[in-house]
Amino acid sequence: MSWLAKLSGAKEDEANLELTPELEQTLEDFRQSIHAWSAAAYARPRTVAEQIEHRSWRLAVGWAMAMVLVVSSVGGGYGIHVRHRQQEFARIAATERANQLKLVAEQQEKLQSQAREQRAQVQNQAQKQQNSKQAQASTNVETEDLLAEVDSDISRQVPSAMEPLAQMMSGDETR
Amino acid sequence: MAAGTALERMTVAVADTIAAEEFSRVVVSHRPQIFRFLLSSSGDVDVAETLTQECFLKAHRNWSRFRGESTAMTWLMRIAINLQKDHWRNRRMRFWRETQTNTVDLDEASEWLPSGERSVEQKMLAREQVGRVWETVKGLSERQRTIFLLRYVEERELSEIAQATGLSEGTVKAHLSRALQKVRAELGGKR
Repeated sequence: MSWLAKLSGAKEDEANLELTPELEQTLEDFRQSIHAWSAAAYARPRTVAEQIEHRSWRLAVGWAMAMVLVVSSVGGGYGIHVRHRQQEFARIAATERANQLKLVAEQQEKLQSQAREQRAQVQNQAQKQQNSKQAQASTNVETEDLLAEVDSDISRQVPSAMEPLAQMMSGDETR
Repeated sequence: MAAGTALERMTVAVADTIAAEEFSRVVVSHRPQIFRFLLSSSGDVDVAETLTQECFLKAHRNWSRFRGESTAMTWLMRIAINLQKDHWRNRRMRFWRETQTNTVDLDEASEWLPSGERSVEQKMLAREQVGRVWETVKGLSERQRTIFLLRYVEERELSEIAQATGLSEGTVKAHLSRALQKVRAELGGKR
């Protein structure tokens, strides 16, 4: 069946390829028109100078763009490098500053603690002095009391002027 | 041994010279036809010129591989057909469906009618009919158009068209038949 269909299709194609004189004439006109158009286009003067100019212009534009690209990429790269370096420097400076601040803070703290210690020592000394003063004062009082007591004892004792009498009295007593 | 090498070198040089001369003759004799085919199938003078250059450049590169199994014209036509296909595929645009600034108006193409010995009316009628054929060719598929142009513009035999397009003769006939049917329909009535 399929080969029959193919055969009939092939026969139909063959029949279609048969041209009437009118169609043949039209196709001949079509062919001649293309030949004439092609011959005219083929023989047309070529604007070589213009093309070269055009090419040189394109070349110049291409070069300029390439240069811009190179400069921008190099400049951009350098800019990025510089920025990176600046950032690096800033980072290092910030780190150093932080370290310095830390050191200063530590020193201040140390100084404060020293001052605190000194103050405490001073207070202690003052306290000690006060205590010693108080102690001295109390000893003074005690001494005075003692002296007074001694004085009173002494005063109870016989004065030297009365010594001979006292001796006499004591002799009498011993006797 | 040295003499043999010198002789070999000379033979190669002579063969190269002969090949170059042969190729030059092929270029001179076939260039206008290749250009015409590419012009009729692209409708663009600039594209046709570029593709013609590319076609002969490719042919020059592969000239040593050309075994003469087909005529040089058929071989060149095959290269031109492939280049034309690649061109439109690569650019993803088809001349026949898209407008281009460089493209020559096909109405202009139908103006190129030989004057002959016809009356003004006959000329007008012929121009109109050629214009209609152009319109039909625009609407054909790429393959049908190529085959139609090779047959009725380049006047190639069906066997040559089959070789150039890489199709069987039966397929070429079928495509040509369909293309002619459309032309007949456009021209109106049974022709």
